[in-house]
Formats: sequence, C-alpha cells, structure tokens
Amino acid sequence: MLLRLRSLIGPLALAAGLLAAARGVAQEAYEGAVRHAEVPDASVPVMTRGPELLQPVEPAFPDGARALALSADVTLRLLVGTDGRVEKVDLVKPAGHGFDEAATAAARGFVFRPAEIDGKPGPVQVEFTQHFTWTAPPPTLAPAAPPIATLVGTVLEKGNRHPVPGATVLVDGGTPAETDAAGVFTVVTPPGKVAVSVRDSSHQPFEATETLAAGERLEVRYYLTPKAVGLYETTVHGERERKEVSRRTLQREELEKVPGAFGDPLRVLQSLPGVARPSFGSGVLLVRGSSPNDTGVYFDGIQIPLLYHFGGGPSVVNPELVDRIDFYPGGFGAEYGRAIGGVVDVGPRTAAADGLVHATAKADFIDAAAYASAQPLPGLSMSVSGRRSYVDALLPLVLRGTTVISPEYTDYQAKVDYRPPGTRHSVGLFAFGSEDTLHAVIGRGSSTNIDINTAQGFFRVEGAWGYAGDRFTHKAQVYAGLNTQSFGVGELRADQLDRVGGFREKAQVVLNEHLTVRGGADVQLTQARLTSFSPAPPDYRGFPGEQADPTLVSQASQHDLFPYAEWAELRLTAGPLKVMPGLRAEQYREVGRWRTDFDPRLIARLERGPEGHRSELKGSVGLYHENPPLGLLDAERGNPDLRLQAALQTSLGFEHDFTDVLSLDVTGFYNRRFDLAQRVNVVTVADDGTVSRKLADNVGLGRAYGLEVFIRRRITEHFFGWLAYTLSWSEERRQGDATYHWASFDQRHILSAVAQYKLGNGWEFGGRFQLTTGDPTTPIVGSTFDGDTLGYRPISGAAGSTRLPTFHQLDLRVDHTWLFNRWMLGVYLDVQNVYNQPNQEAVLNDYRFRTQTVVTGLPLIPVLGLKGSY
Amino acid sequence: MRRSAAIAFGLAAAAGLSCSNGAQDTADRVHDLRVLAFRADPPDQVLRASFQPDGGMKTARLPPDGGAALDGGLGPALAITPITVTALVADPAGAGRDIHCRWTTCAQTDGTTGRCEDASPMFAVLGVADVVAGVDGAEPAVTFTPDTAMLFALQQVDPYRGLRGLWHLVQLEVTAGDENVVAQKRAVVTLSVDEVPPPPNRNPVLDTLRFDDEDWAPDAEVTFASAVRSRTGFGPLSGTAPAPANKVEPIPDPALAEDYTVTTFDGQTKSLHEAWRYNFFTTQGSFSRASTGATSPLDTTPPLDTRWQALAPEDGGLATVWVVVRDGRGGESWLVRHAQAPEVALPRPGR
Repeated sequence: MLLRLRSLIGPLALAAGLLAAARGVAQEAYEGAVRHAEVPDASVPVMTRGPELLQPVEPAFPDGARALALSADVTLRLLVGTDGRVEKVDLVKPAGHGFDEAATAAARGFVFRPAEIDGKPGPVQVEFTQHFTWTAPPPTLAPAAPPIATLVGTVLEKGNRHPVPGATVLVDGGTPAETDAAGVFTVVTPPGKVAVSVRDSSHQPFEATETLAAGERLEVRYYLTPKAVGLYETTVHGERERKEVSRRTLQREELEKVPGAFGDPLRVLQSLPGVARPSFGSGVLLVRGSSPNDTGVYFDGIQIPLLYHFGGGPSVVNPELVDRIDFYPGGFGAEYGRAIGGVVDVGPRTAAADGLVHATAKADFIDAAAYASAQPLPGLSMSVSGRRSYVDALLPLVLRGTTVISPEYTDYQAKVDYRPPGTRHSVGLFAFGSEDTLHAVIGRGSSTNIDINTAQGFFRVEGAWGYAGDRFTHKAQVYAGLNTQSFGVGELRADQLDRVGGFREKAQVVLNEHLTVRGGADVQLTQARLTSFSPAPPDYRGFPGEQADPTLVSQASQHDLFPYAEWAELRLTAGPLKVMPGLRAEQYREVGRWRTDFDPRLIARLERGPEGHRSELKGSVGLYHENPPLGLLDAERGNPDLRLQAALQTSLGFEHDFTDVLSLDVTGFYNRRFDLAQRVNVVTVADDGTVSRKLADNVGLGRAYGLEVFIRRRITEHFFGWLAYTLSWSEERRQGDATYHWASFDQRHILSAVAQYKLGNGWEFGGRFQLTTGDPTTPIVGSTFDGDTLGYRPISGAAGSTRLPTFHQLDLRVDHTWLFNRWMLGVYLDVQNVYNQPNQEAVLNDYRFRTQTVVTGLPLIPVLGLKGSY
Repeated sequence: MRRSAAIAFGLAAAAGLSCSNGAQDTADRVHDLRVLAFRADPPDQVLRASFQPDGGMKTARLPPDGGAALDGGLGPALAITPITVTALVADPAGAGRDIHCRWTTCAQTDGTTGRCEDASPMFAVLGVADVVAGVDGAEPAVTFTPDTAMLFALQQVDPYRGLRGLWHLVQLEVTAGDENVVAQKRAVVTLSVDEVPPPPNRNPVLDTLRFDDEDWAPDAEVTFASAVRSRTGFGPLSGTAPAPANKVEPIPDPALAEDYTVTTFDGQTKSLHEAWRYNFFTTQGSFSRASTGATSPLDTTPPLDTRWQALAPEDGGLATVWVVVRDGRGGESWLVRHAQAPEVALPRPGR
C-alpha cells in the first residue's frame, strides 16, 4: 500500500485557488488574484509573494477505506494566517469513508511561509486538494524487475491544450506516476502491451493501450475530457476590492453568454441596475436618468467616442479582447471625470501566459471576427483581433424597392505586453480602432433620390509603462489617435476630424495599513477640425417658409480643446471602516475660454462579517462636471460662453453576501444635475438697433432618484445569473419653469433577470427577461394650419405626461460545444424576443397630427453563430 | 452618440418598422374639411417710421403713442391700408354642407396652443360668415385695417422689435359638422426709416399650368389616367399595375419673381431673390411631389413639375386640382383646375 500526498500549491495553482482574504489588511490589499502579467493598475494592491508550504503533514490513510481498497480526493480551503499557520480549515469537496477527517487533521498541522501583499505578510485563503490513492502493497519477496521500457507522456485538456498537473497515471497497475505542472509524466514499465489509465478529479477517466519494445522510450500525448465542457472559469478571477459604492464588475464568461446580447460583452451592460432600456435596441447608455452623452466610456483607461457600431449595433471592441467591464452608474472616484452620469471602463485581455498559440474565429449572419494570441518569449505576450460585418451584402436580399442601405463596420485591436522576467516593470503597446460607414439611397431610380453617406470611427495607439513595487505602484499611459465623423446628404456635407493625444498617470503609495495615497494626472489635447458644405446659418430674420438663400457654402473651423486634470485620493482604513476622500481639479481650455472646476468626492464603506457572509453599509457624495457638447459651443450656432455642466451625486446602500457566490446589493441614489446646456433662442435688440441672439444657455435642470436592487449569483462551475431591479424617477425642467416633468429617458420600473446554466456534454442554456415602464411621451392634442408654410404646427399637451406601454421581452440562447484534441467548435442560437412581443417604441403622426401610427420594435430574431477556438 | 442613434433609428425604420397609413385624407389628397391656402391683399405694406435713438438705421421703432410714430408726411401711398385676407377652404366629403367661419386676430398667441384665444392680448373678432364649398372649394374673406395700437403691441411682443416687419396674425376657424380646423396667416406691415422705403411685397401670380405638356386652361376639361389599367401576375400574386401618371407643371413668369433686401442682424443689407414654391392638392389620387419649386440645400435646381396619379379604383368622375404658389415672404395665390376620369371597367379578378 502506498499513500501519496501531493499539493497543488504552486504559483499558478495558488493564484487559481486564492480567494479574497478574509479580514483585516488583506481585505484591502488584494485585488484581482491573477493579473495576467498585464501592465499593473496602480490602484490595485499586489500580492508580491505567494504562500509556500514549508512543512506538510502526511495524513493517515483511513483503515476502513484501506480495507475497501478505496481512493479519493478531498478538497479543502485553508485560511493561512500572517504567521504561516493554518487558522481555519473548510471542507470544500468531501469524500467520506474517513478521508475528510484524515485530510482535515493533517492540514491543521501545515506550516507555510506567509504570503506577502504589497510587501507585507497578509492572510490568504488557498484551496488544497488532498489525494488518497490506494495501491496494492508491493511484493516483498519477488526481486524488482529491471526497467526495460519507458513511457513518457504529456497530459493535456481536450479542446484548449492546457496542461493537466497532478493527474495520476497508472500503467498496468504498477507504481502510479503523477503529472507535473506541465502535465508531463514518466513511467518505467516492462515491455509489451500495457494498459494506461489517467485519473484526475476534474476530468473524465482516460484509458489507453500502448505497446513498448524492450529498451524503447515511447513518448505519448493524452487529451483528457473535462467533466463539464468549458466550465466557468471561476478560479482564474479573484474578487476585486470593493472601493466604490456602485461598481459592478462582469467577468468574461458572464459577458459572452448573456442571451439577447449576441455574444457581445458590452451589450450586457443594459441588463444591469441603473441602466434604462434604450428604444430600438439603440444601445445608448441611459444611466440613472442622465442623457447618453453624460456617461464616459473608456477602453483601457482611455476615453473613446463611441461604444457601439452604428449606435445600437455590436460593440466596437472584439469580444475576445474584453477581459472585464467595470460599470459605475454613479459615485465614482476622483480618477474619472468629464462625465456627470456614469462611467464604463472596459479592461482589455492580455494573452494567456501558457506559451501556446491560441486563436478564435466566430461568424454569424451579421459579421465575422477572429482573434489570435501567442507568447513567443518569456514575459512577452501578443494578441491581435479584428471583425468585419457583411450585413451590407445581405441586406439587398431582404430590402426590395427603391431603398438601398449598405452599412459596414470594422474594428481591430493589436496588443503587445512585456514584463521582463524577474522585474517589477512592465511595458505595453496597444492599438485599436473602429470604423462605420453607411451608404443609403432612398428613391433609387428616381431623379429626386436622396443619397446619404455617413461614417464614424476612431483610432488609438497607446504606450504604457507600469511598475509594481512593495509599496509604490504606478501606471503611465501616453496615447494618440483620431476621431472621425462625417455626414453627407446629396451635396450637403459635414465632417469632423479630431486629432487626439493625451497622457495619464496613476500612482499609489501604501504608507501603512491605515493609509494609502493615490493620485494622478489626466491630460488630453484635442484638435477638432470641422468642415461643412451647407447653407450658411441665416444672418437675418427669416419669414416662415422662406427659402430664398439656399446657397451652399464651404466652411471650416478649428477648435483646440485642452482639458487637463489632477486628482488625489486617500484611502483611510480604521477597522471595518473605509473612507475614501478625493478631489479632482480640472481645467478646460476650449473655444478660447477657460473653465475650471473642483470636484470633491467622498466614498465610505463599513464592513462587517467574515468572507462569504459579509455585510457592508456604503455611501457616497460627490460633485461632477463635464464640458458642454462642442456643437453648442460654436460661436455661430451656439454659445461659446457656456459654463460646464454639473451634477451632484449622492448614494447610500447596503450589501450582503449570503454565501461566497450569492449576494444582495441595494443602493439608493439622488442625483441633481444643473447648468445643463440646452438650445435656446433669446433675442436681444441693443439701443443702436443691432440684434444679438443667444442660441444656447445653461438653463437645464434635472434630478434623478431611486433605488437599485441587484441579486447576483456569481459564476460557479455550472451557473450564474442575476436579478436587477431599478425603481427610479428622472425629471427635468428649464430654469424659470415652475415644475419638473418626466425626462425623456425616465423609466419607473426596470427589471432584468439573467440566468445561464451548463447542462453538461457541451450543452449550455440561458435566458434573459426584461420588463420596463414605457418611455414618457408628450401627447399632441391638436394642430394649427400655418397659411404661410402650408404645414401644420402641433399643439402639445403636458410634456412627458403620457407613456408608451410597458415593454417586456424574453431572449433565449442555446450553446453547444464539441471538443477536439486541439480545438473546440461551438454553435449557438440566440433568439431575441422569443414570444414576438410587439413592443411599442414610438408613435408617428400624420401630416396634420390627427392620426397616430404605432411603431413597434424588433420582432423575433434568431441568430445562429459558429465559434471555433484553437 | 446622438448621430449614431439617429442612424440606428433610420436603419430600423428603413427595415420596415414603420406602419402604413391608409387614410383617405393625406397632405395632398383632400377629403376632409381643409384650409388649403391664404392670400392677403396686400400681403405687405411699408410704413415710414421714426427711429430712436438716432444711432443708425437698424430697426424702426414705434413709440408708445402709436400714431405719432407714423410719418404722415410721406403721403397717402404709405398710409395704412385695409387688408383683405382670403382663405381657400375645401370640403369634398361635406356634400355642400354649411361651413362656419370665424375670423379673429391678436397681438400675441397663447403660449401653449399657439393660437389667438379669447384671453390673448388685443384679441378681436374680425368677422364671422357661413359659406358652402363647391367643387372649387370656398373662398371666405375678411377685410380689416390694422390700427396703430395693434402695431405698437405687435412690436412690443416681438423679440426682434419689428425687424423684417410686424406680422399681423389673422386666424380663421372653420367648423362643419364635427370637423374643425384652425388656420393662421401673417399679414406683413413693414416699418422703414429709409428716405426711400423699399417697395412692398406683392402676391405671386401663376397664370399658366400645363397638363401633360399642354396648357391647362381654367375651362379646359382634361382626362386623367385611369386608376386601373391592367392586371399583372397570376393567381394569388396577381395585382393591378400602377396607372400611368399625368405630368402637371406650373409655368411661372420669371419676371414676376421679385428682388428684395433684408437687414441682417448686424445691420447690413442683404439682397435676395424670391424662390417660388408650388403646392399641389387634389380630390383624387396623389402627386409624386406634393411640393415643388423652391430651392433647397438638397436640390438647388429643383424641377417644378409633378406627377399626378390616381391610386384607387373608386376614383372617378370630376377631380379638382389646386395649385398654390408662394413667394416665401408672405405672398401667396392659387389657381384651380379640373380633370375628368375616364370610364373604365375593372378587369375580372384572376384574369
């Protein structure tokens, strides 16, 4: 009989098994178990050394199990204290027959070298699997046979070629071998035909027969089938530290498989609390009652002008390159600015550091995408991806008549990261971009057809340098790029070209366990060049219906926009209380004017209870500013004297973890927006008779308040899902108006339920249900015929006093994955609006505003797609 | 992102999200009680006004004492003259019922309805009448003389203080059965401090209209194309081919389009030329373009003609066509023509 004890504790396994520390300093210090060797986030504490098992204790093999010739694996979760002793042992996967007690008793005697977080010893949790393998006692009298053949093998996981460490390999019932971290094993065996079996707790048993000649060294490669195909990778992501009051982070698996999102990570945002449903699936982000322009969108910390192709299409980032999405519906810290709504920060994925080449290709009826990554040298990882639509080729098959529409979109990304082995420095280079074009002809074949050409896109190239020391971390980014936008109807054209450059620096110093200082700079320089070929803005008072001066003139203007910000933040920790005061000072040099703001912000959290049963009280208050839209700052069409738009955001909430994976988050918010820039038409006649007009002013006021409830089942091997409910009021008025009215995007009740389950054998099933209050509408109660224009002017009722009917929709998704030794093939069917609900999205009026016609949203749409991964 | 959203909306709409509207009454097909056009005679009159302070010629001012501002020394040609406002009212489905007309005016419309209400400043009833709309429609009219108190009030409520003239609003409310239409027209009174005031605007005049490239005289009875000409396809896919269309083309006299000047916001003078626009209305069928003529940013040399096509098999008998011409600065007139539908038997279904 042989008892073998093996530990999974190695650098990778440790990281994989590491969960957030249970209490004290480690709770603050650890953020993200695996950093993927990416450029470090200066705000993230780093585990600078993992725990190392110094004194293992070999458990006793239970007598009962020995008598039954049983083998088993027992998985434990150990809390390793700052002194390296095991403070707590939890049974994760019991095996019975006395194995659990034996493993637990032995584990209590382990002694570790403690882990260090930011250079200081800190408590961590590790998962540990104790293997008990029964083997027949070796013959005592027979002399050992001389080795005459050698079997050398590599055990890999089927589909992704990941090594399987710690698997047990038995050859003809001889001495079992164990695979190392690279999945490699070596067995010496008598020659001839031998039976090989491989066992691993996470994979299905593997059997093979090999024939070895005397003296032969046979090299083999075995592929094990995982027990559940493509298990959700819960162990590769750690829990990020909770700092902000409402940061909701979604992981890769959650992002890809949500029904109705068509595999697009960023569309999942619309199923989170605080986000209203945009009409027509337009994809605009309506966060806590704010307008779409009020929410900042970042990719790797760099602001980008758009999130979705064509406003409501697929996101501009290839799904394969998205690692995580941080969504802040409000109350974000001083690090972010230039937004008075929310913030979305998309974290890019760094290529896997496994030395392999990986590639993915995906296609459905809308577009095709590809992704490839490699690690050619230690510490050097590279990835490239791209996507191209072909809906422009398919639309003519369904669009008949005189209308031609050719939309095209493309996006691309390339990323190189290098962290020299043995150093704490890292550098990276990242380039990404997107391009949309739309060509439409309405009335084809007619002499009066309308030819529409639009395009929008952006490109960024970014260089980054990071350093992760024991107490000091920082990340510096410098970037440059272009934003393009053009719009043409017939001979009319309006184009905008922005040359963008910037610099971001983010640094953090851990002074002691109670105080961390963070700060940074955020500098951006944009040179916006606007050209147009259009009618000049009238410089005289036009008579209604007058069109006497339609001459098209070329105009060009250039605006230098130069916002720069400095920010600082303290993280104060006193027992269970964390307080994060911050200040962001920003200056805007735009259209010849200086604008300055100082935004103080305060975030506080009070935590109680152990990991898995933690409760938190949280609150935030802060001031936020953003510059008015460029179009409103134009001297001829707007008002260059506009002030910054502002918002005061407050929130108070409560979080509770029922278990490690089930949590409840209830957050109330009250946001007041003021100085909102809006179009006006105020005419002033001077004493000398000259007329001046103010076409835009800071006259808009808004307020939004409500409650968000987020019940979330985090990813485990088979299931994830959430229930998000938002009760909100969003109202607005102009200065001087007596009362508020519902804002355009006010939706009283917003409910989203998302669930995804892996059935096994490669099958996966998920659904999403949405129910929201209909958008406010303004009724039209009559009309007046204008005898000078020969048109009708509507008479509106109370603004926003009626609503569209309640929206509800169910989306379903089925995935199936086939595993091959070196690659896997997936097919999915994503069905949107399963029961074909004719949701009312808008009302169209006839020419005299008497008859209304309902416009319904998208009908049942099935999308079939293929995805292959190597 | 707003442009993106607009594009998305356009895509969705183009993809067939919008629904059809099968109403009998459309913008250019007249079925219900309608007001189609207004004409003011004169559409504009120029008054010599003083300017205070004397800082240059920008905007003429009327002092509170009203009449004292008007320089009567310039002679009777520039005195306030009566204005006659005539409406073109159609009621094809009304079968000759009485149409009650109520003419009103005010210095400032209600902020909510945009109409002259009883409580509006300087509200006055200019006249009431009952008319009957025949085949050509009805042309109720009212005559009034703007008084200086009204002109002063108009200037006080005008944010531009009379720049480009005072727009004296005349409102017509027509009621027949349970139908009611409210329509408005601006009569322009231009205030000028020029020694030689600019000439007042005149209504455009359209004398010539062509039907399939032939003159369409008022008393000519032309025959328009039948709604149903042939049946196409087989079985369930069969249908009626669209009827051929008739070309309707206004022929304006280029010499009648006037040059005029406007004062820009910074006090300069800008010269412009009238761009006439034509609106087409009919009791049967519809037009390929319900409005032609005026240049636009999309088409600086627009065609004037349109194609008239009867759509429904039930169309038949006598059709009325109105063509309204506007000069874009308050001048307006119209002409009426008739056409006869041919007697055509419908083909038998499926053949």
